[in-house]
Amino acid sequence: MTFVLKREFQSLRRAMLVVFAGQFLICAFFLDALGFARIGAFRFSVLILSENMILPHLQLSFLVALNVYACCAGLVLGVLQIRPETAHGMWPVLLTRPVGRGSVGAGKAAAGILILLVTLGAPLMVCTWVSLVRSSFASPFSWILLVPATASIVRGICVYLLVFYYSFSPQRNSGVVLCTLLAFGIVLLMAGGTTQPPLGDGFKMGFPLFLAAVLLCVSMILFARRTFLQWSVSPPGSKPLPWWITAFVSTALTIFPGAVVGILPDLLNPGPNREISVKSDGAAWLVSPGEGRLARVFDLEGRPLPEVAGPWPYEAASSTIRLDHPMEDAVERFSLNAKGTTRLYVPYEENVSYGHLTDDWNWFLDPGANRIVAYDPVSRERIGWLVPDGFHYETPAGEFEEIDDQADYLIALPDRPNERLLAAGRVLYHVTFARTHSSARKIAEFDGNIRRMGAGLLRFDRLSARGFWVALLTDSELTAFPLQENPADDDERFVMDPSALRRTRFPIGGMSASDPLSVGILDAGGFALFQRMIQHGPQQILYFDNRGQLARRVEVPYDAPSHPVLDDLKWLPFPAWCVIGFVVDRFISNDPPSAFFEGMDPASYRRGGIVCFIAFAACALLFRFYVRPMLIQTSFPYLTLLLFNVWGLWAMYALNHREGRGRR
Amino acid sequence: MPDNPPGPVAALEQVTVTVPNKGHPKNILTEVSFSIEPGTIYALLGRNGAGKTTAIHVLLGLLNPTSGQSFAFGRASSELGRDAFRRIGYMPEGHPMDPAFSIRHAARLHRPLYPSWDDAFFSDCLKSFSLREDARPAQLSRGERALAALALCVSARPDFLILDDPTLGLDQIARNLVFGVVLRELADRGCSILLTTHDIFSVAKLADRVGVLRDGSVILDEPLSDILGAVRKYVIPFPARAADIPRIPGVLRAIQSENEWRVVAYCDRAERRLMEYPGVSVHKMNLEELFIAMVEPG
Repeated sequence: MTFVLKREFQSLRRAMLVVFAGQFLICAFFLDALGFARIGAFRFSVLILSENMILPHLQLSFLVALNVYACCAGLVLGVLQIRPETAHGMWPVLLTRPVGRGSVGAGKAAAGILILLVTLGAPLMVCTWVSLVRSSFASPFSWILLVPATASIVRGICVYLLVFYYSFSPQRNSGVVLCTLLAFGIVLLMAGGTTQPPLGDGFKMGFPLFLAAVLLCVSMILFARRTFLQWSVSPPGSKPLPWWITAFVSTALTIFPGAVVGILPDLLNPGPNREISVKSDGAAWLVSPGEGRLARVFDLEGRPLPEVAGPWPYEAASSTIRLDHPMEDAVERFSLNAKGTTRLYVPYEENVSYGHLTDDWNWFLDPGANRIVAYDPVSRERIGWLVPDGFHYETPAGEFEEIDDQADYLIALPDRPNERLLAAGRVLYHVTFARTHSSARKIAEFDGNIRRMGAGLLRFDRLSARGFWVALLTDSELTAFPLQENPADDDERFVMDPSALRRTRFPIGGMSASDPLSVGILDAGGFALFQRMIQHGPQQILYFDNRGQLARRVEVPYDAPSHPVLDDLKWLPFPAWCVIGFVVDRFISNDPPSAFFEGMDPASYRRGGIVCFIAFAACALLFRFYVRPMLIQTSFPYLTLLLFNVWGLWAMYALNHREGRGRR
Repeated sequence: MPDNPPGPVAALEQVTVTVPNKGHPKNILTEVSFSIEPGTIYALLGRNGAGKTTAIHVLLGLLNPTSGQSFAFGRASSELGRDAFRRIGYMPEGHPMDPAFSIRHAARLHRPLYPSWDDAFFSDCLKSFSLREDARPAQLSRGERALAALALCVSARPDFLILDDPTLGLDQIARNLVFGVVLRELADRGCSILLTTHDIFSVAKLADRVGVLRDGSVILDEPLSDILGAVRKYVIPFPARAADIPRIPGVLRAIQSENEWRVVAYCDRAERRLMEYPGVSVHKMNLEELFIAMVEPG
């Protein structure tokens, strides 16, 4: 074993360096970039309305990049480990050394796994450490970010093992297929369990699944020993499995268990995910995710109100909106997909758009049209426009010339702007703030101010009647202060008022800044500090008055209004829908047979064979998770996985095919 | 030295290897049998594609035969383990070496694997072959790489050495060095050697026993000393009773050309019958002539 390990490390030393450097660059760039994204320096972000959360697009990109890179690294490493052996005719040499074939197989696998762990894991650890050093980055680093990143490493290892097994076995026997499925099983397990948004199940589910994956990896190494004993000593006349069967079986068994595995976090979770939202009038809404089912409503005194079922205002938050270009199309889609999860892409300076949910209207900023447009959340119809001379229910004559004009207009409104304008103002706040602080100097200054205050976690919150509020959360307290407007200096439009800081520090006993906290500003004055995500046990909402005194503490009792698995089960027949849809479309009708295919190019699923299968499997995954707010992000790794599945199978087939000919 | 079971060091018994060939299975080896006795040098000869390397792969357990059995050190080849491979030195065809390792590094890697590794012998070999220890395979010529691979192989002091075309790329001086000095010394120390090569001249000086493969079948398997004295070529001009000649006992090969029969046969068994043909002429043969006569198409 030592012989093999030394040999592998020596042979792969250059590849190790390349993988290490690449991973380091990705981690360094993204961890740095994520910090800036948090303070609004980047234009793109993803809004998940159902969780009332804006996720920087870079954060998603980080996860996707890690996934893709790890899979690439695994694939390349697997090929690099095997190809030279066949190309240089080293197999007979290696197998006739007194090391044992089991040791050769296990040694190679162990070396590959170790190399991937070190080269992919070490840069992540280094960047994590750097990020954890307070004030070294603008980024308020979250440990939760590490879970999907770690999962991506395991995913890379799985891809590597897959290539390893395929490459090693000239006879693609059932053992190889079994190994393949095992590898994909791990991948799916990780994808379903740990690539969650950085709030929610992912963190708690991640580590058990990670441990399970490690155990499976170890068992695969042991299995490799056994498999390798059989390597190349099988009768030369035995017929290998046709490649298309392997491809079909592994693809099918990769995709469909994925839908089942996706609900594992819920199955294993003792209670449903719940969410608290505080309305501006102070009432707290405790909801279970998906379908807008409301569990409890509390009043300002913390008394539970009668349970409300069915459509309610918050339902709009879990509506499906995909805002593309142009705006009309986005609204149309909004109307088509009335239920589900919202993922709103926010290109601040592109055509469209930002949406924010209020209790009555939806507001969209359309920089392309230089208008703020209001839509009815129930009927999805356009209500009117906000333009320089006021609100119009019909097509307005005037337009804003610049985004700043809109901000100026809103800021110049009477003392207490109504709720709608508050919402729109929040939109503009983000836009304006990003623009105002877009230079490196401004970001550095802002960051410096934050650091001087010793804050560990920074959140912005909505515009109050008195200005823009920035909330800083540390482990012990909440600091909320207004950004003072400075009209004299266009370049420094908003400044922080140190005197305001002294007045607005509030203890947050019982809560931690590492909890998913949110700040709500109440119409009646003061703040509400609440935990957005509740999974286990009673949680609390803290209400503060305008003087910063803790007004009341509301304990939210634990209950389980519904079992989330039931919500999931109804989506399980979806793959069947896809199959039916494909058959109908292929053999009976040219019309899309199912609403599930809405928006897809029909030609894309007329190509038949594997291409079509992969298309509808991908479609199944998309829709499977499209309706599931908590798992929406898993579609990224799944699609990545799918891509690598196809690509990997092709590469492995080509590799084996050539290898087989060479061996003959 | 570990105890050797009685009998040959290695043997193939009725080994057949069949591979699929577009629906028409093809025999790479057909009922091949030969054995290597302790302390002897066995030269396995044959044209390209005759099945020499396949036979070695079967012997080493790298390939399972379709039928038949193979053994090494008294164990089935497919069950050869760490202990057996510690006593086997194998240099594959083409002399592959790990591209990432210098000769010194490769030796350092191999040393712990072989209890009988001989550093002094390794150094002597490199010195004799004029090789630098820090050279990497990419910096070596084909011949130098062959010598380096051989040095690594023989320095493990194996009890059984298998060399698959070791002279490929070697100049004549290097060949003499390999066959005349290195292998001879190993054989003198009791090492059994299985050798495949196209260098018949060197084999004639070194080998104890010769096997000839043609189209996957063994057509000759005799001690070299027996062959050179006992086999002769008989040229029989036409007309002759052609059908009978190949069936005469002792005839190894009978090739019909335009106006004559060329017959290779054991003189003690076939000469009396062959001399009955009118105009027959008898020629002594060296190993090279014998090999060509045995494997040439006809």
